[in-house]
Amino acid sequence: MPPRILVCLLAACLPLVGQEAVAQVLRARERATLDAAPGTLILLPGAGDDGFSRAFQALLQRPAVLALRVPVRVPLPGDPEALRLRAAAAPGARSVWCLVEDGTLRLLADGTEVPSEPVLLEDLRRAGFQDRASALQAYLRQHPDNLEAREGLLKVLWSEGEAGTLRSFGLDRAGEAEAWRSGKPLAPVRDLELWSAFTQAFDAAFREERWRELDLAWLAEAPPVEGLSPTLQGLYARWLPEVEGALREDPSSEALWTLWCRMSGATGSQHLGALMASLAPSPLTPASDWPPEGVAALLLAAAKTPADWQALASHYEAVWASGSHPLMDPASRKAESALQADWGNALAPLLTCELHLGASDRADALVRGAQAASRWPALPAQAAALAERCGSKALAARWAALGREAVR
Amino acid sequence: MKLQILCALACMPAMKAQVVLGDASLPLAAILRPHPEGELLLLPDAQGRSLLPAVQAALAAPPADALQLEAQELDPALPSGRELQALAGWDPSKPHWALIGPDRRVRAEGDAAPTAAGLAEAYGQSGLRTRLETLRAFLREHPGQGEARAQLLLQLRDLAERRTERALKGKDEDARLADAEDDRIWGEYADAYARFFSQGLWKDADPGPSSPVPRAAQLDVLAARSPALRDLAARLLPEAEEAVRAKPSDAGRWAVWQSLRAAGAGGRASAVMSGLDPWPGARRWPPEAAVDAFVEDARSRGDWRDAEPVLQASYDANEAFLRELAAAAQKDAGPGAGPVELGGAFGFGQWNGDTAALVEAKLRLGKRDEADRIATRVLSRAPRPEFLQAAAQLARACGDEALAVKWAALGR
Repeated sequence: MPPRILVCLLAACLPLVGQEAVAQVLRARERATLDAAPGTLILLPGAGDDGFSRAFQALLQRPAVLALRVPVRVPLPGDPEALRLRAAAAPGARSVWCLVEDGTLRLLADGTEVPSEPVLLEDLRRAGFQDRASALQAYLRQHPDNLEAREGLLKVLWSEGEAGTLRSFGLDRAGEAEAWRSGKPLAPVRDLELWSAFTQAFDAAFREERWRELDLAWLAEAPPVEGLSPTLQGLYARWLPEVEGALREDPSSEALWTLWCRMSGATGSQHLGALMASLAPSPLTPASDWPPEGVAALLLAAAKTPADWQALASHYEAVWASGSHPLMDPASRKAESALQADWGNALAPLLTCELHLGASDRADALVRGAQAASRWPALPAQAAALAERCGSKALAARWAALGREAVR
Repeated sequence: MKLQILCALACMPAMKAQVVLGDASLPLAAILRPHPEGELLLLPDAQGRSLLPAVQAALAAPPADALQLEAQELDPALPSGRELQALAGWDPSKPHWALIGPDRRVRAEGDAAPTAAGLAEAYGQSGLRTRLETLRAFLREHPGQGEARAQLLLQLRDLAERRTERALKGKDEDARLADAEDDRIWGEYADAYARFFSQGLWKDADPGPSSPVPRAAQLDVLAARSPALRDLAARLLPEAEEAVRAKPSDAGRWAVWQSLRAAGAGGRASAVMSGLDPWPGARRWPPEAAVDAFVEDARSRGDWRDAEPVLQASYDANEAFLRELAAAAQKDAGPGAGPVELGGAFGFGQWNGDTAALVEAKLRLGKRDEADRIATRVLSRAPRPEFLQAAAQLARACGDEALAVKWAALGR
């Protein structure tokens, strides 16, 4: 299968005008899977019958219909196939819809009015359409050991639960995270309705000890719906100890840490410090390299108790003590990007930890040392803003003043 | 404690000097940080004379080979070189080496080439611990720590590889180690691999780019020379095959399977895939990792009968897609426009690894005309010189000079 980059190749290689058909083919191929649909829904609105088109399009957006992933085509007026279908289905009718079997072009269902959702669903299912979850579940009954089908099923069931939760609260998938956390939880019946299927599949993966073999990276990008679902919170609470056990086997695994952060955040669990203390990273891993840099930002967000902050502070002190830091190097002029990166990856996290531990003197010494060494103009303001966020107004004022002293 | 050891010159083969790569301003601490076991750091003399080849030769020989230390020559003009010079206080009229710990303390040093025995003794008295010793001690306390177990495997493997190369130097390519020698060189590795394999970390979905687990999971490339590892591979193959069948898209699982096969365990890609069906939502069948395994399988056994239909099906699918794209492009171009040829715009329509494998399969199976038809079609779409050359080389490697000449000339 051609990779996604083909779309870019297309843009580079073809004239810009009139490439819509090719782009459509490429987009369709990107979405295409090997399980072919049993047929295509062909809409033949009569001239001027906009109501028919609008109503059918609205029907096609209903979640249960969307889940069946029906290919839809609206032929151009005068299309020979359209004329044939219209004649075969409902001669003389103004507007017609047809469900046509692919390959044989056999008419599977048809009508002259927009059907109700249950009627359309019945027609589609009779024609062989299945929602992806049902198809995967049927496949897994035959091939219970196929982990890729299991991965697919978890993703589909999550998507369905997420979409339902969105609708229940009128939320936008791309919305601010706080909107997810501040709402009332789902009512118990609705919660189970939306999330029991996913919960069963997730439970099974953990019970059968296959969960580590499943790609769950997509979960990190999903909106934090767990805050609204007691079912999901209970699920995560059940299996969080398993994830922690896995971290004991592989404490440098970014995938496990990411999953742990997701699950512990949803359950409100507060024991990052205790967990870190219980783990034994490899003796060959320098202190500054553990926990892994890729999850450091997640862990900072997960820290809540003094023990959590102390554990992270030890890590970031090791980071600060090791290697060379542009912010501490007066000998050469560093690019703005290098200074900003050092701030973001090393000094800012360390200051955050120290401020949460109440170690103002240490934090102040760090900032003054970095300012004296680097003379980076942005440092005082960035440090002051960080102190404000951490609730240290006095330090914020002191550090802001460093910037004014530098200007003089 | 700082030790001074005077060592005699040893015979040494000429060896490539290591250079300090990366950020030229790296301080000594940063160079030493990845080496808790210590490192041998060197400075050349003012005339550029170096002890690096001699030190590397000594490190490669027993008993120093068991230390698995690295040696690195610093540039006296760079900060790290100047730092070392200041630390050690050396006379720049002579080249020097020093064994330095992660704490920047010099544990041993010399201004002449050390012997392997001398280095081993100096290390033994230094208070430092080799990576192997550190990992063994750690795993006694934390036997379930899989990452460390993977690192142990890689260290054991590295040592055993060097010892095998030394033991079989000058012998036949298929020569194997005698039992006693095999046990001495590979015994600990074999036990560690079996234990690591049964722990199952190698089946984790996402080990991460810097994880040692995927590399450790592949049985060593020299395993075929070790009777113990051959037996181990045969014993573990069924579990590896079961793992691949559970996730046939997973290139890591196929890599483990292939490493066991390469050790002599047997097995065929077609047998692994037999009876498997694509799952709802699958985009390609067989998955790319499986196709790669078919090709590797074919090359190693010299039998392309299983791989050919798989490669042909993939090629046919790509050609059909190109036709669909061409029809769409024709529609975009509008009525009256000339024929639109898209094949040169997309990598999958040109000479590439998959096409080359299919053409090779055809040639190896004696289907010359089919090979010619496919290659000519694909090369004509995008007759780039490097493609024509690659195709010609392939034909030559398959013993068909006439086709090599024909394909090379397609661009003219």
